[in-house]
Amino acid sequence: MAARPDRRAVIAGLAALAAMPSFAAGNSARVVVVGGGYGGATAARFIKRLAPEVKVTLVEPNRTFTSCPLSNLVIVAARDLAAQRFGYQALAREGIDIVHDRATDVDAAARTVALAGGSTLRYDRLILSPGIDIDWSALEGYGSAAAEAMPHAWKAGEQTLLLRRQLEAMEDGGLVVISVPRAPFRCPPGPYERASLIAHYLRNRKPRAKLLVLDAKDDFSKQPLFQAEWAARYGGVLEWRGASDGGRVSRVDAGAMTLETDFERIRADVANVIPPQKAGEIAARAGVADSTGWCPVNAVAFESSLQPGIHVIGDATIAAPMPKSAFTANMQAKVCAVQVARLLRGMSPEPTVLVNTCYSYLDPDEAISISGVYSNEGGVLADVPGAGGVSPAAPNPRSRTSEAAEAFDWFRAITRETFG
Amino acid sequence: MIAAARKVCLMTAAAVLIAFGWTEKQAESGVLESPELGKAATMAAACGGCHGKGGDAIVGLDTRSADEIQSLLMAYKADAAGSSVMHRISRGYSEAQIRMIAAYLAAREGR
Repeated sequence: MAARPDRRAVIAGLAALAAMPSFAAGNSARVVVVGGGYGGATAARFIKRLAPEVKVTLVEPNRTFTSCPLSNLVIVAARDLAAQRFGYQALAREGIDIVHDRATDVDAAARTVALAGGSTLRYDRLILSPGIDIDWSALEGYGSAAAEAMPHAWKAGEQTLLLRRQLEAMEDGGLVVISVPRAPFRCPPGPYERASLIAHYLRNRKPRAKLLVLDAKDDFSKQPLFQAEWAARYGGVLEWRGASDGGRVSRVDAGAMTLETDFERIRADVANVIPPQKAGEIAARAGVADSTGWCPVNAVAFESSLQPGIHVIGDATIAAPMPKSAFTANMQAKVCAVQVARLLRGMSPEPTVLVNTCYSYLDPDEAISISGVYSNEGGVLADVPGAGGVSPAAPNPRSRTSEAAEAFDWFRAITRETFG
Repeated sequence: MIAAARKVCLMTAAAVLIAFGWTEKQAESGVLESPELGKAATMAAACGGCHGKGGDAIVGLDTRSADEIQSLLMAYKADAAGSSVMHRISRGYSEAQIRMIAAYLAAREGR
């Protein structure tokens, strides 16, 4: 068969290199990773496994990570928040130094990271995986105090539980409003999965209540699929209003529980304001974020286009057409880990093929998906033509339930690879 | 340095592959020495996002031979009417790339 020579060639290549002397990186090679989510924790792990001689330090303020994927199920009481939480014990056992502190500054010339606790870490290569921060200046009336009345629930944890409690406490007949920002933001299909699950919750628990989605865009991820499913399942419960129909929210008043568009002021009983976002704060401090608030990279090794020696992965990057997803962060982390380990040995990074898949729940038992395959030749991410796409519009009867089961298995696999 | 070189010499090809990634073992890695293996490793890294030990709906890759993985991926790629996640992804790879991924995944598991 055609397979045999190639596989043999790979194995033979391996055997040959196994016979070569090992050019280990210097004993003092140091990699610092900032951010312990799907990107940072994965990158730290893979560098340590690939190049055990490298001293790998992971800087993360929280002792447990709370996953955003599947947290929309927590909001509608279909899942416990405890199932979203993961610790760093496995990483520590593998020889990674876990520093529970906040990175406050980066000196790219001196190659040091300053920590809130007062210490400084030196690095040969720095990997920033800071995720998102809310851009508190971008929506009039919205700030950290307003978020206690109008939760964003776009970083999983207390905000997730707050939105859940508000939905549970709302009287039947109430109005729930979700406000969606312009792209780019974390998890492009996330607002629409959330809308689906909340509509399902309302239909079953509060049948006289309504859900209004106010969107700053006219197009969104998996839009034809979501809209067809909404019409079939949640007609009369869920209304989506795009930017052209006055959907863009320009101001909120948390005291009055109102959201203003160009045309009207809407009073909500529960308001989930998903605000505009930017790369996590340390990206700007390190000088790797541009005027958009996000981080341009050369996507072969995910090295910053603005600061050599600093790599950026995950939600913080400008990586379109790859979306800001957990799958993307984990994928970029593994590619970045190989290339950083190669760079530390004086070798050049090599381009490859990357993948993303995102599942979105339509209700707690049914889901749809989107996949993409990407080349990073020349440092630029591009769709591989003819690949990727979304779930079928008219599926066989079991396809939505089997994709929900896949989503659950995906979560188990990726959290095990990242934290387990 | 000499001890490290001898240690690498003693490792089999498969054992070098085990060193990369998704098994629990820690060891030195040949992935960093060869551009071809580096490419196979980074392409195969896409699989670990979903395929761990396997679950109810997603198969594990730890029991499959290279021929099996290659045949499955080629069948997905060839099935123009298929609409599953694996159909959509497999269309993004050439036959040569699929061969590299399959060989890498199978060898990684130590067979």
